[in-house]
Amino acid sequence: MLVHKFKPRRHIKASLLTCFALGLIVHSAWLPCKAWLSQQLINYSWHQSQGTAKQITPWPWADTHPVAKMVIARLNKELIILQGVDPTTLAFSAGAMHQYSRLALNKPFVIAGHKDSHFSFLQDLQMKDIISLTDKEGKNQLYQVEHMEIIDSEEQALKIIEQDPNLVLITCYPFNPLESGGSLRYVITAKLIS
Amino acid sequence: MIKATPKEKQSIYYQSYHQYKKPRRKWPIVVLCITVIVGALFNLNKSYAQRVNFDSAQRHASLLNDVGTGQLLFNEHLPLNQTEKHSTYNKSALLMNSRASFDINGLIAKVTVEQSFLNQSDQLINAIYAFPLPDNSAVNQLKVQIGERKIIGKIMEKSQAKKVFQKALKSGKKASLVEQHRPNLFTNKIANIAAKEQITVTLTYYQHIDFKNDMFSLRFPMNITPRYQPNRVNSQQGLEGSMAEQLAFSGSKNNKQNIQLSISLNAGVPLAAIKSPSHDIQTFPILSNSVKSTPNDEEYNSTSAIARPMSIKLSKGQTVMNKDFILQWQASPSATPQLAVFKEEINQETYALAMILPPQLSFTPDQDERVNQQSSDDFSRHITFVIDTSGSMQGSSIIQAKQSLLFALNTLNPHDKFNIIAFNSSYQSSFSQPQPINQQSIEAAKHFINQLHANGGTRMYEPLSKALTTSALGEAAIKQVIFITDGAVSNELELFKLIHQTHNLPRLFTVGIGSAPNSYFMRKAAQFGRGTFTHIGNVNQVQKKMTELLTQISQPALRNINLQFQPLHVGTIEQYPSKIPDLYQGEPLLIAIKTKMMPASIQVFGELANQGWHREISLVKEQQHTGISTIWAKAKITDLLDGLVTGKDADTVKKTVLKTSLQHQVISPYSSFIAVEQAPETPHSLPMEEQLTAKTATPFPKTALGWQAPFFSGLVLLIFSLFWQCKRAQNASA
Repeated sequence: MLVHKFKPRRHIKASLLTCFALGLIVHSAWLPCKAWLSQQLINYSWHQSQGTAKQITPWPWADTHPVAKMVIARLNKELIILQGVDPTTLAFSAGAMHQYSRLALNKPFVIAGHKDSHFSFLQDLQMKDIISLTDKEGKNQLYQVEHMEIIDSEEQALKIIEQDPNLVLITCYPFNPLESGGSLRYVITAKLIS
Repeated sequence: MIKATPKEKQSIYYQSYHQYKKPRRKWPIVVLCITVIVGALFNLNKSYAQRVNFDSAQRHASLLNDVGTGQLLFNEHLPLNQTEKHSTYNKSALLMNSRASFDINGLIAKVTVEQSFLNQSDQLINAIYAFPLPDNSAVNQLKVQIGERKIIGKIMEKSQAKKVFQKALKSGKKASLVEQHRPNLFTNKIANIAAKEQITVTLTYYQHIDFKNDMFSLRFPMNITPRYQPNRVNSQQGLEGSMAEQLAFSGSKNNKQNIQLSISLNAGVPLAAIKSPSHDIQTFPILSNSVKSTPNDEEYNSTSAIARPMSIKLSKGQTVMNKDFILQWQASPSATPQLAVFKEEINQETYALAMILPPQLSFTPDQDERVNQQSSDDFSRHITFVIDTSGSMQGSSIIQAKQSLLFALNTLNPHDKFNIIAFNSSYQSSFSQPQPINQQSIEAAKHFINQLHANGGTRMYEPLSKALTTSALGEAAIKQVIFITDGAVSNELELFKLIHQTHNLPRLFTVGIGSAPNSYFMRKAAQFGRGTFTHIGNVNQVQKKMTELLTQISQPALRNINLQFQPLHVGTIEQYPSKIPDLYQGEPLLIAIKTKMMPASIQVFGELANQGWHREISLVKEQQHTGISTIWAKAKITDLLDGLVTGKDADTVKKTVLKTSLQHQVISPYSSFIAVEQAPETPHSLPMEEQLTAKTATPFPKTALGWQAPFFSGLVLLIFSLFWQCKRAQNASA
């Protein structure tokens, strides 16, 4: 009698735990999956918008559009940059800050991305690495990494020199998988090579 | 019976063990284990992060990072000819003498810093002069005297500056561009300073005076705090490096760093108090018979206490440079706006600056209340709220936006009318017509706000044009549009044109939401709409910032302002801003003017809540205020650059901007500050350094998904639960 009473309860407990664990895994794995899936759509819309003035959104209800392609040859890395750094946009790809999202010889270009998805490769970036940016019109600019620093975003704001054609890459720090939501930011500055 | 016994036994065993021991023992252990594992991982990370952080902090350390005032720095151990890109400066030269003079006119201060240094060492050194500029300031003159040699800094066209620079490089001279060490740190390299030679640096810059809570304040950096960091040993320099730093530390400690300050303060309005929270000061009026800014108004005269320029000195003559100098002054309270006019004549042209100070609300509560009462009687408003509900607003942004909106609704006056427009790919408004404030309409609006959620694209044009035009219909009420968005737009130009071309444009106030809104767009939109831009960075700020904005705009202190000159014809008048905005609480208004002929007086007309307002100030020929032309040129450049936004020809704009920039020595995007060495015998010029251009501070976006931690803990839990189930199955089968 007693045996029958206890068996199902233990069974339920164990299954509940399994379900909870699975739920947790699916829920958290959804974010990188979404990040990966969206890349495919973004890539497609990037190729479509090549050479056109039109802004082609990756999916009809998207509130952003691709602005540039970033290539780092040494790391064999290619990434399409979206417009905007709001959480929704960053969930899909790295994004460029609105006011600094145009390739120009006298303007900075600022890109932010998630340290645990699109911008995880920033930890492998080294001094003197070359980064190439191409915009929709096919204009290309090369940058060389020349400064890396860690900034506490609660203590100071991001300082951008308005007239310097630098490329600024921002992501969270540390890159360690278990720590997130902290105030530290990893900021890489690359100078334009003429 | 025989069979039953083991069963019985088993069940007893089962009962006693599983019911009373296992569930109690294992659960806490499991929880404890997980906590310990996760906790340990986190701790490990933290110490790792700190270590890495610390390392990187050390890597970038140099005395340059700690400059708290003007200092001359050099590296003792670096061979002279070596021009290393990342050279560190580890020693500061002996500061002999420092003097700073301030010429304050209204909201602008012209600051001249003069410092002499001595190369104490027995060798030729290459040094760098560093000065931490205050925010909102720009260098426009530099003079360095090294024995016979002179270095003069000036503003040049960018391409020309580059040419000069290249030429110097080709002729074998060493020239290098400055590195960015810190925002707003002015640096200038000075080569070949002989042993025991004295050098004098004179730096002139213009600085905006802060105006907050009816208090003007000016800060001057004069803080030498060399922080000795024992761990800051450069791997290349090793022991030698650390010794050098120690030397630098003791060296600057021995420096007798006294400074002399002299300030001439011409606030333009009667002052209630002048004080310095940092140092003891002495104030006395500058006696000059040319001072005669007597307005016709009687009321104005009755309040005038110290409208004349004041001279301020340190009570001890000079002071040790160990903390920043702060000067604060306050205008005497007035219930009506106050006007001040400053004037400068250069090359037979007159530059004038009209400053209108808003009345102080804190002034005599009775009167204040009366004014409030009247204004709420007379100023009825039509407010249209436009809220962005596009996908980029998802998350905390939309929450902030909704909260701001709900908050704003509660502050409306009974005779105001309002409407709400929400947009993403399409738009909808809460009411077809602006509604008067009553319980019913508020309830309906709240319902409308609560059902909003962020989704879809950003189509701003139609809702904005609807807000701008519908509110333009109707009677004499003040029309205001409050535009809440993160500004994620790509058709800025089109929107600017829309704002620019709308007739009878209502006041447009933009509220930027989120950590990194498109502040450029919103600031410009507000400027064209003669309103203000408010940035709300996080949810905690909503109430404070919205209160500030709403109280500010609930009663414009003065509106429909315009300027007139006596005599009426003084030649072409160039006035910036060309559209004069309304005067609001807490924000003084500056209007810069250039005329061919000096007017005898300047009149300003405006409307208070219930009556007209008019002031006249006569200009005195002999009276000169330095720096007014610079302010005018700055305003002109800003105005010209705004032309780009509304689609003016880029080449023409560039030409005019450059002309103004070079003539008035004001920095612009097309020019740069370059220091040219002028050796007495050779006419050859050697450009030295380019000045740092001001950096803008942008908040950081959030850049972590944070999926890994829950993912891995999920995995751990899954493995554990599977393991547990296996065990249970084994137990059951056994």
